Amino acid sequence: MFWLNIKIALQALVANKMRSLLTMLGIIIGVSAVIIMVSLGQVTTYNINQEWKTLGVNSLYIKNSDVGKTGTARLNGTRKVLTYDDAKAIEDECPSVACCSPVSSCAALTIYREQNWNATIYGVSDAIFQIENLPLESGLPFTYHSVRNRGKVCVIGKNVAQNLFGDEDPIGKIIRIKDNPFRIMGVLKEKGTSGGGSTVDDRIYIPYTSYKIFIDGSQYADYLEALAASQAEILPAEMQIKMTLRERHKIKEGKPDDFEVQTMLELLKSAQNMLNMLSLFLVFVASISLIVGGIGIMNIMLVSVTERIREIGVRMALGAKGKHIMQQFLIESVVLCLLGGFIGLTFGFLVTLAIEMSQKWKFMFSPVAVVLSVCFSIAVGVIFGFVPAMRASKLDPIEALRSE
Amino acid sequence: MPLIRTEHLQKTYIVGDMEVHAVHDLFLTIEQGEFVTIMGPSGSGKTSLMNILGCLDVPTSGRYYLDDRDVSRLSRDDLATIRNTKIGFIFQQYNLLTRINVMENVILPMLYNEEKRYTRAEQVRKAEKTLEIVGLTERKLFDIRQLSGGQQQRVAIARSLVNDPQMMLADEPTGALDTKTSFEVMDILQDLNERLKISILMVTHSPEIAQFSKRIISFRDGVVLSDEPVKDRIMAKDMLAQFAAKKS
Repeated sequence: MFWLNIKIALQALVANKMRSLLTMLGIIIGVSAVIIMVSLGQVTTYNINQEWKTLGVNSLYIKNSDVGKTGTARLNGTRKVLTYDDAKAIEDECPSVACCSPVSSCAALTIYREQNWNATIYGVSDAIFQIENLPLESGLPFTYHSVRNRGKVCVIGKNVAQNLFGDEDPIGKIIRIKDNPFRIMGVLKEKGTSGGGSTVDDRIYIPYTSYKIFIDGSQYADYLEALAASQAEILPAEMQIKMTLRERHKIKEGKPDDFEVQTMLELLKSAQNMLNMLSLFLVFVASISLIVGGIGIMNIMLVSVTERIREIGVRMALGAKGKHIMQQFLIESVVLCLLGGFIGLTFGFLVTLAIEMSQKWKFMFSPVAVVLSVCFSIAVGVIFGFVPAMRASKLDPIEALRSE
Repeated sequence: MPLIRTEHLQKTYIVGDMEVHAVHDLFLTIEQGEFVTIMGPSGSGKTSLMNILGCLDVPTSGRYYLDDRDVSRLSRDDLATIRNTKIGFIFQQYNLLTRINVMENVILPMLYNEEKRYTRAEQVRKAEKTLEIVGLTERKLFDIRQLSGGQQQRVAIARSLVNDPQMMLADEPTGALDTKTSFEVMDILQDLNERLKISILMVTHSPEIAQFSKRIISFRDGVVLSDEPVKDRIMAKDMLAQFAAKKS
């Protein structure tokens, strides 16, 4: 009975291929959205956690504030107030800060012989390797000496190394950055992307002192990064940085800071918030399309019932009870939804795969999402197939037999 | 014990502000093993009567005893059970499901049989047995659309037999068939009636076809005009033999 009904349902679907496909579209989109949402949510959470581990929760970011000295809101980052000297002062004057590095960056063409590559140049102090926890694959990081002596040295990311040198060993080679020769000290381990933003693999780190001379003459850094001496000293470090900077920036009592200090903890939280927002949006999209899809299913099932009134009459004459007819049409609608669900599943899987591959993320595919989408499909089939099935089961056998 | 017994059977329709008696105060008794034809012009109420006797409908008032059980006040589902287990239906337009093959069509009534829950193997075996009775064994896996009208009607007969009914209701069983095929179908019905003792209740417009049965009831305006046994009963086998003779 059950299998025969499924067979009949499939035959009916195949007989009306175009109609079935259009009907399933809503379900397909809805289920794809669920799959993509859950899978990407999982992989992003995983990445954030990885980042947490590598960056360490002890780091702090000091950014230029959105709010000016006068207290009026400014466009984001239009005025820089953090100087390279600020970084040094924080490192020297704040007891809870282990080290601090200014960070400035810009894209620049780098050349090695005939090869060139568009990398992002980062002007930093030697402390950055400790703060950002950047392990080297080969060579050494540049030292405090290089920073003090404005050394034309650099540490390059894996991508840069591959694109400029191929199989050649880059250590000790000279590359040209904006026509200035820099000696390569070390190559960073490959990191891959970590949920948006530029990747470490595409970067070239040089001493900020050299950056100031050869790349960008400004005395202001884009932002500062600091490392608290221990996890317990994150908050004291934040306070000390604030005091030091207020003093250095001559901010009077009662006036707001012209900078912002963010701890890694806060950043992780805000990233998680963003992710939750995105998930919420996708849930919204998914439910809308599942509802629209469900209405489509209901519509087509009503048509299907109307087309087969005579068949229903025959079945009733042969002894089918209301529940048998009900079951038949519910199975048909569930089969329709499940088929849509499987197409959506495949589609969502492919999209997830494509995104994860293009981002070089660790591949993750959630079995929870599969179970979830199959359940959703069945639920939509039952809920929206109910009214048409009910209508079919309530038909008068005599009237139904008489219809053409 | 009669197969069918009705008392004061009444079916009334309200048309506008008029009451129309499709069946009026009917007393009817049909014994086991009879082969009865019901004749009458359209609008005579014979369709209403057949619907009630076939348990597709319930009377407005009066009693209908089928196999000594009062079925005149049963629920939809109980009527469905009776149709499924006691009555076999044959229609003018065969009413086979074209989406499934011959075998599945014959199996269909067994799927709804909740008294005997046949296994798939039993279903197939029973379907094959009934297809053998109507002589369609070798076409069991055919598509319905591949069959001629006569063959389709034979599939319908097989389908009606598969739950071992006591009674067969045939509504114009030869209405869409040519003469020879009609005789073939009547031959099967006569055979079922004689050999398997299945009671048959048939509706037809054709006086000739009526001569194949054993008893003719004429019906008009909801009442019985005449109710007589068939005097010169025709056997379909003889007619088919004549056909064969004429050809050669």
